[in-house]
Amino acid sequence: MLQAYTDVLIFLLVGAGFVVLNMALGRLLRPHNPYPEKLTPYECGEVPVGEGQVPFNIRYYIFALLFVVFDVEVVFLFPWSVVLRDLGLYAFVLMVIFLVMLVDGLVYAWKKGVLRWV
Amino acid sequence: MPLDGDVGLLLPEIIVTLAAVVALATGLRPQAGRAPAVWAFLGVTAAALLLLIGEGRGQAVEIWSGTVLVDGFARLFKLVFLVIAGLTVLVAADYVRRRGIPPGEFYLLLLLATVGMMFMAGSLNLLTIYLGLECLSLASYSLSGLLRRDARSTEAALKYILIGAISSGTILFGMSLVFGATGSLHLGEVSQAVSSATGMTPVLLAGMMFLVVGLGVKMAAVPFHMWAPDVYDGAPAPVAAFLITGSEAAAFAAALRIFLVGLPSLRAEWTAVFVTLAVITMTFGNISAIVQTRIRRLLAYSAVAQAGYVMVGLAIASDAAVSAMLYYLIAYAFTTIGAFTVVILLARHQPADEIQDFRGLGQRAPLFALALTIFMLSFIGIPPTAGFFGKFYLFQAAVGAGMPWLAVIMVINGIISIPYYWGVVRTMYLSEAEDRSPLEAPWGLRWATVIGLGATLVLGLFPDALVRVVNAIQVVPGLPIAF
Repeated sequence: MLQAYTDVLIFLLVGAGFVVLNMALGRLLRPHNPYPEKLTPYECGEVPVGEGQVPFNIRYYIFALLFVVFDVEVVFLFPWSVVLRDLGLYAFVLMVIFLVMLVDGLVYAWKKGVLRWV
Repeated sequence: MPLDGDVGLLLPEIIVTLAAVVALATGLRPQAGRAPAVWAFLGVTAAALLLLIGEGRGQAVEIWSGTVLVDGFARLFKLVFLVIAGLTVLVAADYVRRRGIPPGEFYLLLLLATVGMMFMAGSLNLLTIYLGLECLSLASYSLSGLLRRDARSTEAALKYILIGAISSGTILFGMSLVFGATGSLHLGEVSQAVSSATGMTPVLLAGMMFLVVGLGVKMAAVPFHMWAPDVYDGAPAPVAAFLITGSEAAAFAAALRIFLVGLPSLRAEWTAVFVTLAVITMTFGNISAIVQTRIRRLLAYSAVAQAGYVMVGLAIASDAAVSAMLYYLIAYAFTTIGAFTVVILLARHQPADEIQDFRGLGQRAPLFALALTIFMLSFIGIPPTAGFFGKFYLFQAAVGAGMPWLAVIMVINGIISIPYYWGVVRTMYLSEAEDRSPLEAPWGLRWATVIGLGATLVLGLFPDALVRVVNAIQVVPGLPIAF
């Protein structure tokens, strides 16, 4: 049972290694030329006004929440779409049920006026 | 085609989920009226009937690569959860409309919490149990905060989600340690791995303790009970009744499976822990309840104390103790929901937070006052009520397991609890009310009281039928390991 997780471990190591390797390569290859303008928020030359950390509207939160739901849904949809041809109608029906439930929630939120920007 | 008889065994869960979705959809219309409540009630009733008369009774079947188990234990607990959910719908129908709670959301969350509980009882796989627990927990956090303009409700939801998240993490950590020590998430295989291993590994012991603590939070066992009084006092009243009965029973169901099926080799260790927790819990709960002046805080501390009694059964864990636990949980569910119904009824007409508000209820609503009196008798454990036999079987199990001192502590606790339960009854009958107008009850509350009262009395007068049922329940299913 534990041996089966060797693959996962290797996968994780390769994944982390890929990132580290590319960052290191970039560091070695790119020219090193720092100057203060590079650190300003807008490189186009616009002078920033005020603080960057300001309170922003709580209404974003509900959009973020709905976004997360559909973000996770996509995680399920991708593997499903790959093997759909082999699994056939059964998998299709199951996914439709799953989607109907999500849409039920979305429609509820929509009808409640959550998506309207007041 | 993987579509086979397996799905049929999960039909009750599927029906409840569908009812939840439909209830949400019908709650959309501006004039939703009773529709969401009716759909929720129909779904729960259909699922319960299906469990009673449906296929596969009397056998234990493990499906979906050992992630779901359907056996007598699971079926009984699912039935209990469905009855609790059904009674909660009856109690809540009027409350939800009057307090302006969005009905669609309320019934969706209530039914999803029920589905979560059903999966907690219906699996030997630690991950499925955890998913069920999360489904229950997330729904109950939201349910406790549904009175959005009420400060107490918001506070309850916040406290519950913070402590609940920690307890979920603790449980998950415990499960991962058990998995690390045994290499399996299936409790049957965990048990085999533990018994074949030489000696007891510290990792496994640590995992066991994490599980005890995490589930202890859900059971509201002292010292992990800090959330319970605030949540049971602040959450919408029907939700509080649902959580005290359902959530607690689900935690005990999961604990029975995890410790009896998965970790029987560590029995000496977890028995010691649970005996200690049980004694602390019941004593602390009863003593704290004495000084309460708010009725729902009193019921909350009483719930803590009752959890202590039930935990005695978990600690002894003999066949007799498990039967006694099941009996107690069922009896307690009816009694608690009944008691909350009377609280909700009074709260329709006036503020009913304080025990003092129950003055003169004996004159204003004789039937409901009598019902509450009987529920209080059942909480204390005086015949002819269900609570008496619940406690009696637990005493018997304690004595039978060679722990008579535990029974003595339970009796002492029973005596400590008499004054505060009886105080409520005294207030109802011996104090005069300023407002003597009779209370009118909507039919949902009336039926919930009648069912609670009927069950409390029937279980107290004719305990044999239910005893036969619970005696036939096996926590450890006699089935071969699936893979």
